Amino acid sequence: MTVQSDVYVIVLITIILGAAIILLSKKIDKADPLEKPKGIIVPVLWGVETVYNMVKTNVGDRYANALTPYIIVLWVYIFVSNIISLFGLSSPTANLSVTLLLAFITWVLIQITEFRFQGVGGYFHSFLEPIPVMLPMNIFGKFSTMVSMSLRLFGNILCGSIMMQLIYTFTQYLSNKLVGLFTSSSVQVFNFVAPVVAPLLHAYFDLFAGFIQTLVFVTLTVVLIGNDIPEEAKKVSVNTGTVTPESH
Amino acid sequence: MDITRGLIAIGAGLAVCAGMMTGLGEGTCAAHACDAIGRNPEAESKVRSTMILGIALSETVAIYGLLVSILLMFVFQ
Repeated sequence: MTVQSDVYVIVLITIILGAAIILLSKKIDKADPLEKPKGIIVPVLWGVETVYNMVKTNVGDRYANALTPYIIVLWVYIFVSNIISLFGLSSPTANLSVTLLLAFITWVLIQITEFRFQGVGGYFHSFLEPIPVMLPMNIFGKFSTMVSMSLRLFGNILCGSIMMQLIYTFTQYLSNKLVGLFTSSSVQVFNFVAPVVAPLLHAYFDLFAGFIQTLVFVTLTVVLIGNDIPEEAKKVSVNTGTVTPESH
Repeated sequence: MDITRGLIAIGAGLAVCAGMMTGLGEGTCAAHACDAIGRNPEAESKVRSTMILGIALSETVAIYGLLVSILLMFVFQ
């Protein structure tokens, strides 16, 4: 049995993120809630608050508490996976298994939301709308969310890494030729053109595209889940007047 | 055997043509975003984030084309 090299990178990312989360949560526990936050806690709190507000505008007050942790983990995990190719490792998101799993979790959440708010009958009746002939289309349509979300992330990151590989091959060829002009020997030389050209392209393909694709994946997750929740269920329930914790 | 290789190359080239209309669509999206900012400059940040989201979504089609061509080149050797 062969182990794909992505598996090691995934384990590494999990260890890094786990250590970071444990250290940060210790710091946050120690911090005095009455004083002004300082140090590393400030960006963490800012990030959590931003994501929470983003979730709240889409999903509503009632379910924002339940959904925010998943969204934050998606943000951090996909973004770190995308930019880890800056450190010379291969991105786990350039592997379809990883992105398909992430999209599958989102898809399951969407299906659970539909079940919950439409009921079993309504869920299966939605396959027959608007006319019963559309049944096969609707079945494909249910699964197309998962496929398109996973392929979008996978394709972008994979194409970025292939582009960078092509750039490195070309700069290697170029530096060989440049040295060959003066020494008339055709040996493999140090790739000295790459440090001039590559950083800008790395900034685009890894940082910018990685950030944008993370944003798209997360926004789609929130929007698709929020679409299935009817407007009146988004508010805090009037009868009890309290927020019911959904997933604790 | 040789003609197979050539046909694969032609197929890969054709698959990348999926990016043609995508470029048109993304340009239209950016142009309309410029219109919106010109008409309503204080909404710039909202327009920008929506535009980036729309562009990234429509870019998917081009990515699919690129993916198909990469598969053709590296899988069907």
